[in-house]
Amino acid sequence: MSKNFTSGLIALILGAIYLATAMQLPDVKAGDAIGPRLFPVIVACAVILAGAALCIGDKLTSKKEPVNWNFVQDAGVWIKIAVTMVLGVVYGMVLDSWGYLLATSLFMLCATLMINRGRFVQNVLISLLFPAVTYGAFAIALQLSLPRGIIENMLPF
Amino acid sequence: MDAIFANLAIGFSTAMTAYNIMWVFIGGLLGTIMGMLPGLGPATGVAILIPITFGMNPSTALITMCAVYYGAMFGGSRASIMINTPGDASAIVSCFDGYPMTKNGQAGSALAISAIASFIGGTIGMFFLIFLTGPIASAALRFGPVEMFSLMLFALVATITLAEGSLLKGVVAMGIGFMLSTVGIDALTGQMRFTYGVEHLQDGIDFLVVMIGVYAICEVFKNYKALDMQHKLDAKSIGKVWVSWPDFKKCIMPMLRSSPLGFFVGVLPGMGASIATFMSYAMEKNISKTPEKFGKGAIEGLAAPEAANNSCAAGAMVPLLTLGIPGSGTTAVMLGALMMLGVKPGPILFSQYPEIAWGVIASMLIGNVILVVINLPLAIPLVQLLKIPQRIMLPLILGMGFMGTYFLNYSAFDFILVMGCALGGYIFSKLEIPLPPMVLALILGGTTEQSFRNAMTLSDGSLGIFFSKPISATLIALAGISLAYSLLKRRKHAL
Repeated sequence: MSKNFTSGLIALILGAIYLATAMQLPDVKAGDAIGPRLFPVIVACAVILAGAALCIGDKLTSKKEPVNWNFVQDAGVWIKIAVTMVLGVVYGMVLDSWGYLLATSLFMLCATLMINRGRFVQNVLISLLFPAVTYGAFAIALQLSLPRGIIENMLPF
Repeated sequence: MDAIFANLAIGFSTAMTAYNIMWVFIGGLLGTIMGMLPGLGPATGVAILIPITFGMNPSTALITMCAVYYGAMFGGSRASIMINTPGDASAIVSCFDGYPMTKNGQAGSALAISAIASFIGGTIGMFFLIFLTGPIASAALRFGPVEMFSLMLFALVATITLAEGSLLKGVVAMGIGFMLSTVGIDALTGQMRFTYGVEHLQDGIDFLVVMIGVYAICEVFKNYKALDMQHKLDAKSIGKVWVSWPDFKKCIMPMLRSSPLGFFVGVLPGMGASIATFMSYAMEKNISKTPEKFGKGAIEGLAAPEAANNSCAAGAMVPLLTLGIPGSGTTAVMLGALMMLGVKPGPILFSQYPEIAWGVIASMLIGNVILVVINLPLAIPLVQLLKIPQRIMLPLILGMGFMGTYFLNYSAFDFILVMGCALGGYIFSKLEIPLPPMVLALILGGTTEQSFRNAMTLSDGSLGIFFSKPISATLIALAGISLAYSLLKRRKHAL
């Protein structure tokens, strides 16, 4: 599929879901002439129309530019993106309970092992120094609240 | 005139404290570093550095962010000059003559004129900013919901039409931005919208979460392809970072011509520094008696876009500070960070908090001086940072981005949103859907909808109200002209 057609298709799907949800909004007009539904409906219609125009325009033109997803050639990139996303979400979930220093050290270790392959000592150093420096700068110097987590009693500061 | 000087005096009294000057220096230095690293650029730099402003008072936070922005503008061309790889889109033009100068053994002169032109462009832009902000802010105080809606409409249409690429994709991007802005409790009726039963979405989507996702984390995704890229840099061959008088003389007029051009381009929403730099380069090449030297190391071909770039940054502050409308991705990120701190830029900022508004303007003048001081003697040590490989930089950017995400709301759910936005941004880049309209619509969405609904309530549901008020009618006409011009231009281009 071409870039324009894919963009149009995404717009059509998003617009349709958004329009369907907007149409279910109750028609409340407390001190408001048009209520909370009209603006989203206008937005949805604009997106659907633009999406349809992109799809139709693509079908009518001979100049089609395919999307370079490169799932096979850039498999490594896509895997890294997927792993980063999982790591990011897990990091967010454990940050409060494990504490900033521990969670960030482990996150940085995983991230550096994936991105900076084959340099274990360098990666361990980054994983220890980054959380220590940022904790010192933000939690100690700037007095911002960062979770201390399960190692709270072990921290000297 | 007296009022301007009185306001500037207030501004300097805010900016000239040791604490604020320290943050101008730190912000400027960090911004220079962020700006010069290829693939980052000012928007990503400001997004990554948002956490450093948490815990600061609003004046210092805004001063620091402006220093980061300005620093990134100063630093953007370092990589263009040294390794022919622009730090961001606005530094592309600096490659045209900056890198040939390096190849001709004039890297020191190129780095020096880049810093000096940035300083001159920034200073001229600041003077325009000083004299324009007051009148614009005063006029904007009289804006009601009708004028506000028309202004937002004009800003959004201008962003779509002036941005490069497909107009329809711009509309799609803007629509997605509006969709995200409507998630959460409706401010006028208290009705829950588009939360799909997710409790965390009740307060809406924090646009800084989106910014960190689409700029900082998405940049990491894009750079995964070039992990092993290592730039070859011979710092010893740079020589003395200074510019000779004959070379400087050649650059005076190009800098003086490009600075006003850059400023006025910066004022327009959606134009951005890349357009300003291309326009100034083209203008100088057309005017030059020796246009054949452009592209082969003409010093004026580097000075002109550098001056335009920095005066454009000052111009972009005009709609942000006076109207609360960000003119670029970077100013959009700054606006988000400010709203997070409880400061809403706009005309009221100048009347109610002059010490913040004018403090920022004064700090930019100070910052300009500090940045030229940083960028001339420290040019050689700073360019050494270009040797840091991507595989070291990327985990650090991830770490900073995630820390910023956590500081926003201390919510694990924001990490899911950030990762979703980063993936969305990556898909946008693959499909060539422009980001600025989405970002602008997300930020302005709430105000646009409220202004529209308030105006419709005033007119009992008649759209005629938008054409019955002169300012509103003019803005709508300008939006229409911008759209028509863009359509004609693209059609001509297609033929």
